[in-house]
Amino acid sequence: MSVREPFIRIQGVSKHFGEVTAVDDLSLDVYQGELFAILGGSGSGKTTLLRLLAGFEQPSAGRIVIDDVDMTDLPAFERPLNMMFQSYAVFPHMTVEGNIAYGLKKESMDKAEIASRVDEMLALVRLSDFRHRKPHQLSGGQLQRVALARALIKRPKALLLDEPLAALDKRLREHTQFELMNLQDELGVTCILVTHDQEEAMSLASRIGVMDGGQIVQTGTPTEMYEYPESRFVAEFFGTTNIFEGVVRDIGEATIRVHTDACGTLDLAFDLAFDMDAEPGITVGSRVWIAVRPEKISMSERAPVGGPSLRGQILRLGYYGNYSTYRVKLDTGEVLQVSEQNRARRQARAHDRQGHVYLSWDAKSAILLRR
Amino acid sequence: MRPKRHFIVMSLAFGYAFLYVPIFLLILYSFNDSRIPTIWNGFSLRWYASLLDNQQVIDAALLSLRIALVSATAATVLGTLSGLALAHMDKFRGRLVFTALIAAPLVMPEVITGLSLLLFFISSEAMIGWPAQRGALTITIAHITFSSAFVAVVVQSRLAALDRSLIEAAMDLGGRPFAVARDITLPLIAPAMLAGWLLAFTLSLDDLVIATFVSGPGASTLPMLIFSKVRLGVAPDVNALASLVIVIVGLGVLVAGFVMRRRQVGESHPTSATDPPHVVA
Amino acid sequence: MKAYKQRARLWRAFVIRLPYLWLLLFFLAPFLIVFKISFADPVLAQPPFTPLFDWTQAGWGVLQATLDNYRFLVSDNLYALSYLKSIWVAAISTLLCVLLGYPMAYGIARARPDVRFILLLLVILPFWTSFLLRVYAWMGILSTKGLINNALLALGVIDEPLQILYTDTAVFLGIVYSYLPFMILPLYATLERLDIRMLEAASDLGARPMTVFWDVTFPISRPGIIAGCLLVFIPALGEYVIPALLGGLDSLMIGRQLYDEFYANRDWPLASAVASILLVILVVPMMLLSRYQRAAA
Repeated sequence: MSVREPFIRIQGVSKHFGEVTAVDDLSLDVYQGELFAILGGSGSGKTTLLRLLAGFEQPSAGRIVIDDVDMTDLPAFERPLNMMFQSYAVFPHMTVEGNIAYGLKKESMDKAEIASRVDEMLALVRLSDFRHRKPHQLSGGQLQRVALARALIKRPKALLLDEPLAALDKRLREHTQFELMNLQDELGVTCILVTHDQEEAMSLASRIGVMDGGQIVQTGTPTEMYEYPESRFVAEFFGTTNIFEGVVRDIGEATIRVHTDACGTLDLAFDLAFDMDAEPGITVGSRVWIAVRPEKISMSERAPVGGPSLRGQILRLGYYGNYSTYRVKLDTGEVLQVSEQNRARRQARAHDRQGHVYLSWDAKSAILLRR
Repeated sequence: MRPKRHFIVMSLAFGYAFLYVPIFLLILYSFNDSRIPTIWNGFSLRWYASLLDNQQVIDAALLSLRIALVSATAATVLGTLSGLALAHMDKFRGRLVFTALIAAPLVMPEVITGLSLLLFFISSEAMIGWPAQRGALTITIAHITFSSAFVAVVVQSRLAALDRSLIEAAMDLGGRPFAVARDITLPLIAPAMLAGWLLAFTLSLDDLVIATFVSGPGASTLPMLIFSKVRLGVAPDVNALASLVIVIVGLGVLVAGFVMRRRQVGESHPTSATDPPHVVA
Repeated sequence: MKAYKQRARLWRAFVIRLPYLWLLLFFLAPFLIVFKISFADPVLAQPPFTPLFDWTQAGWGVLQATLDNYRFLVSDNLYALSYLKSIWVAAISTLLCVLLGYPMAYGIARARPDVRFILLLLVILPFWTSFLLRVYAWMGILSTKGLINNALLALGVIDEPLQILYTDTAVFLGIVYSYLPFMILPLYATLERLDIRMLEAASDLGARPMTVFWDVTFPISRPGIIAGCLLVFIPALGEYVIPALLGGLDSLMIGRQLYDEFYANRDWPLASAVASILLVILVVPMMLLSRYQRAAA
């Protein structure tokens, strides 16, 4: 199904608002059937990018091509894209049915055809019984389904979603998330969603692009983003991570040796995704950063045999039921975050606050970062 | 907390009595049979009856109504456009001046507005011969000018409270700008336009000072007639007229208030996640 | 393809320009004319002033300005007194409005929602009914044969009727009565948004009720107080109807001076000068108002 020919091509797009550059010479390809998430903090330019795609803003430079048609100069009402707004923007003075039919009516479609498409859509989002209701009589989740149905009914080439889960409470979010994914599977529509919430992006998207300062800093699958970040920014955006600065001391066949003030000298092992060819410019003496995820660190009361380990003391622990987190102060003064699954039901605490603990991790689990 | 609460309740009671007792007394004494308005001499409808015979009062009332209808309608059109410009058009040349021109009529002392418009009409007549005479037309123009500012404020605050993504959503679904204005914007600001129209209508009916300045010989509005009658003291038939006007307008406002309240309660469930419940002035 | 853009531009131009031009023509231009005429000489003609520009044959406008009107305003202290008296009357009335309006607005804001709606409607209602007629209603109450005097005489409190109508007291009463809603509404708007939990937090931190009021409620409602004061002060300063109906012949309010200068003395340039100075006095409060209204809204 997936033709590896980009379906949506954003080519060198910039957008300036007076002095401010919201989107800065950004290029991005999205493939057909993908659920692509644009992830970024506030002010990263992600919302502007979405609005450029929808046609609410005109780019200052660059082109936007969808399915081989240049959309750059088309206004919003002529683009084959539909959007689900963060506020849902359900028309308060129209019924559920009226809202869903609106897009087709603007196409001057035949009445009977509209009616059957609306019926089909109402059934798809399970709102058939609510068709004559006004928006103020609906719950948040129902409003969201109206907004979704309204955007899908025109069978757009791509569906744009602006923070689709942000307005829902936690319980509803999980439910809606699966519903959205099922619907996307079923219809096969290409989706681009914008969010500031890394969990939302990781759980929904097949591919993620992280935005910062108006540019996409890295794209990849959720796993790639988490396990193989290319910068400290991305590493810190996805989950918690321990990062320490160091200097490359030696580059070997399969390992690279880095000296850090925080943890002394560490060896990192190359693996498939991290190969030296992709990282030119790393030479002996380069300044680098090492990132280690808390769950990759193992902790024991006794120094492990046959391998390096770091000695420290537990400062604090947080118990979350299924797992616990620890803040461990190393002898060097550096504080690391460690997390551990609580595999067994135990009476006593797993680790003692008084005595020393020893931390170690697989040489393949540490991430070497240039930026 | 106790004495403070007491004080507040007393203030409310005194304040509302202060606002309403004079009006009730006025209405009560409009049914007084006596020629001396402040001495109660028994119930009578004679002053109401005498109003019906007074062609001068009827003419003035009709003129006032005509001016109010025309000026409120024109002011609603102009004011809605102003409200749109202020709320939806972020940048244009002279926006600051425009904003000031909308804000100024709301607080400008009437003597100044009246004087300046009169001198304007006179100068314009001297220069281009228009307006040939002052009267209903000049009063209407004056009323359109200041009430359009009031309408603009009411419409603008409604537009500001609207979720702008409603308009974008309609465009996103294929609505061309004109269709979006007709399908979405207009129905959503219609209550504000109605409130603005009512406001403009009552402002026009009520205006004395500006009308006095810009009117010409022969055109006397109801407030002008009343003013000339009461300048010299209380007149019993004015009591009757005043009571009629106050009761009709008051009932109208009460009904409108309750109707809007019910609509508001109906809509105050979040229509969309970021649309705050709107307030109609 | 670009047709829609052109139409959008046309629509935009229409939306902005129609009301803009209207206001420029019928609001701004008249002020400039007033300002211009205030520099002209009065003559006994129709219109009774000399033109400020004389169009010579060369087509050049020759400026004929005179400062006589302003000189006269300064030399005759009748006008200075009128301005001062107006400011005084407006200021005292504004103060009275705050004193009465603040507790009322506070009470309305703290009332149950359904009661609050009715209380609020009752404040707005007089604003919609005729201003002139509401002022007129006081004439019957205050006159020497009016209700107050009749009641006091009947009760034996006084032997002679009091002269209340046609005094400054009546003017104060009339202004407070007419403009009280303008004070209450912005005050209510700020007080209504006051988070009750903030007051609880303050008392939780050990503040007594009056201290809570002065430390939290009052500062938060300050934009409302200022907006309300300006909304009363500005129109009260130029008020004509109230002093004309309720005030004495000697009540030297500037709005009345302007009216008399214009109609009784037919000295239009002088009336224009009076208006221009009044406008200058009002510029600062008006600018303050637009700032605080934005803050209070």
